[in-house]
Amino acid sequence: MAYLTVEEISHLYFTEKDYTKAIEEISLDVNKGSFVSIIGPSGCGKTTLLSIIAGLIKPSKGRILLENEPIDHQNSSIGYMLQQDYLFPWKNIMENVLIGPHIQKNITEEIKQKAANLLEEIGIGQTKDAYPGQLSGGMRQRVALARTLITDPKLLLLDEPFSALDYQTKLKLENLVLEILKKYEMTSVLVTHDIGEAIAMSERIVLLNSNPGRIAQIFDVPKEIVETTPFDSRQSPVYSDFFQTVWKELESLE
Amino acid sequence: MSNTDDQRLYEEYRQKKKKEKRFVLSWQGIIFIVFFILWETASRLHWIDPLIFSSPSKVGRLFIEKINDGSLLSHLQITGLETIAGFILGTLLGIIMATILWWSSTLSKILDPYLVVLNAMPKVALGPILIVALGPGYTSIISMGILVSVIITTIHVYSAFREVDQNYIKVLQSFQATRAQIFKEAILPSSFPTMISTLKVNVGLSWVGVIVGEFLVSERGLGYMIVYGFQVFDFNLVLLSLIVIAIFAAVMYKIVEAIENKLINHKS
Repeated sequence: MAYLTVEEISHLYFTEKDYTKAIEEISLDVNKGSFVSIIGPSGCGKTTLLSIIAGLIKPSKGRILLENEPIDHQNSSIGYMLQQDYLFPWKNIMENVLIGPHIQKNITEEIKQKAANLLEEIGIGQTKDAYPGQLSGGMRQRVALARTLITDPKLLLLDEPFSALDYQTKLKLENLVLEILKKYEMTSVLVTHDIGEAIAMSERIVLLNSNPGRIAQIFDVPKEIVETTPFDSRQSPVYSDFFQTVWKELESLE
Repeated sequence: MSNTDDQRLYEEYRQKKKKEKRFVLSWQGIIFIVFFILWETASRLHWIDPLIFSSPSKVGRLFIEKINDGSLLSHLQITGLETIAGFILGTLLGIIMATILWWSSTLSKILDPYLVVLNAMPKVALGPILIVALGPGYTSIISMGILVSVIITTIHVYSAFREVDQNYIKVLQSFQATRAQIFKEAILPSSFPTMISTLKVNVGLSWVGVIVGEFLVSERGLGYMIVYGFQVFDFNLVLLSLIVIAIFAAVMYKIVEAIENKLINHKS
């Protein structure tokens, strides 16, 4: 049985003069602990789909099940990482990481310790008392990761979380994020427009076409790539071949 | 070697800045002095009518006289307290109204045209009604101070609330935050700078409201001094009140500015 089920999701956006169909009849199963990427040309409703999975937007049609429960009946949180970190500039790093427990009125000594350990683990333990303005883009996105993981989300949704970073930082962060997610056996869905990133990080890739967004094809990433770190994957010959395959499919959609 | 060169360049830069600052300051002083000398001379030589435009020396003499009999201070105290009360209450009420509008988007849609009308209407025109309704005293004068600033505060603060980046809200929603929590954690702190800048605008507006209120009530305060001076044709008194108002409005503005600097420095 699938862990996350996306069931015939369609979504319309309305304006007074017109309406547009953002996504149409999308169905998808994601297994526990797996990493799925959604790619597609711009305007294919990637972010809309992710917001629907997160339960932030109610779809016009269809439903999302997480462990056979509708998403809007969940009581634990869904982790959501955005294009930018959106750390609160008036809170220090520790307070930013603890915003989830703070909202859920769940701040304990234990959770504070956990936050400190988590920051240590992702290599920014020394920044606890700093403010977001004093940190580099890569470090800030790491804080955002810690903020997302602290509440033990059942599902992690990533909306192009590396797109605002420079190439070097991005490669480093891909490795780190994947390592952490594997360690915590996190089920993750990544939305990206970067084919390379999708290949290097995920086990399955869902290709959407645009206007309205529908599933065009689903690729299973070759085993050799799945088993290596994102950085090493990019060096392997299998990677380039697979990249070509996905690239051609994407090209044919546009 | 190069280090001393750097030092020299830095020293030169500092000298230049200092010189510039001195230049600006001395011209500010010169304008001030020339203005008063010109005013005094023009009045003495009857270039302007001394009965209407008075002169610095007459205003100064009157100032000392009014300080000695204590009346200026008591008028100033009354007006000052009324202004501060009107200014604080107007700002607070505006922020509360903006919060209500943010809370219910339906309500804000319904009220939108009324806010536009209320904002466009000259609030001081309501003065006579206020005085009849609330009685000629502090209450109606302070209400005047509030009325002048409350609508514009509501509009400004509400638009600041709406301009907060939706993604901050998304982050909080992913932790299942309630609307009250979203307001407290994201909306309110992000809008802080706007609230402070509204405070600065409201200092000026509250003075307008209170002075007009005192014109109408005509019992005490600096506004009363102006009206009284006008009625007995004592323009020394009118000008004295004007100068005192100008100085104290500037002082209040500077205080708010200092608060702003302190709060903004604390944040970064």
